[in-house]
Amino acid sequence: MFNLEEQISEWRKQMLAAGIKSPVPLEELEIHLRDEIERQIKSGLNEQKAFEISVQQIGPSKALGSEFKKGERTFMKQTIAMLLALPGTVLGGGMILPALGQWRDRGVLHLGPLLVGITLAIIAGCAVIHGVKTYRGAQGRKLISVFLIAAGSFYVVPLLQAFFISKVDLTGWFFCAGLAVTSILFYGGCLYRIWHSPAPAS
Amino acid sequence: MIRKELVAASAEPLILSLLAQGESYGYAIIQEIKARSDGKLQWTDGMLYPVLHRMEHRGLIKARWGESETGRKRKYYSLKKDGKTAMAKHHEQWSLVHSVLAGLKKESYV
Repeated sequence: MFNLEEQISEWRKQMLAAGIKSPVPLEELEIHLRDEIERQIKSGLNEQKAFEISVQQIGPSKALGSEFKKGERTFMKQTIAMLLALPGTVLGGGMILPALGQWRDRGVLHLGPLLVGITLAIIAGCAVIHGVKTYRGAQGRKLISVFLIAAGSFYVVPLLQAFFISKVDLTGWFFCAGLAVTSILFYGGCLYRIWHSPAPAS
Repeated sequence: MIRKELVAASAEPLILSLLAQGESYGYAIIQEIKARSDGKLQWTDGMLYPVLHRMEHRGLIKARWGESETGRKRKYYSLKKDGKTAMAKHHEQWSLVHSVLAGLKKESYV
């Protein structure tokens, strides 16, 4: 004897095994399945036939599971990009700013830390650009905005503070000001991009 | 029957254009597309949901849970501002493709 509820429960198990999460999106898929079964029954089919056709129409569990996972993979890539950007920004800034400070105060330019810092900052910049290009949804937009403001201020605020509390050395400040302006343009540009254009295609 | 690559490519503009007429839910969207295309645009029903979820994450559409007249729970989707912009862009691009194709077709009959 065919039992519709038992069959739906079995179908749910298959979907869960394919990696489709509950309650969302599994619940939504089940509602769709029930709507279709109802329509098929109204058109004259018995419960068993209506169930079989509806399951076929909704698609195989493995294919559905892999489609849902595609979206999750993109989100993971974006999160990894942001996680790379964070230490890159902090370490990069942590090497560039003291190197510039020493050059300003003592006239000694330590190229090693400066170059490593710039490389890290460039890697962080690339990760930020990737994050901005692939951000997803309002939550992603807010998260990246907070990151951009924090990262930008990491370069800009100490320079502004130092500018107002120490003597002005035009040679050193020329580069510091350049770094600050570049940071403002880069992080500001990223902010403008994510708030004034639609989310990118996935 | 329309090729699956074209069906996949047209999913987003069609969903956005349908939602521009008012909020709707997955099952109704599928039925509407089938009816409007005389059944020629056939989606595997379940494949609509990953597309809807991706569009929701990208901020093109928003969703809310509600109840139908029959008391069944439903997830209703509606268009957001970014979705309207994306829809206008889709219309522009698909119109361009259509006009190029139509022009070429016309020339081939001359």
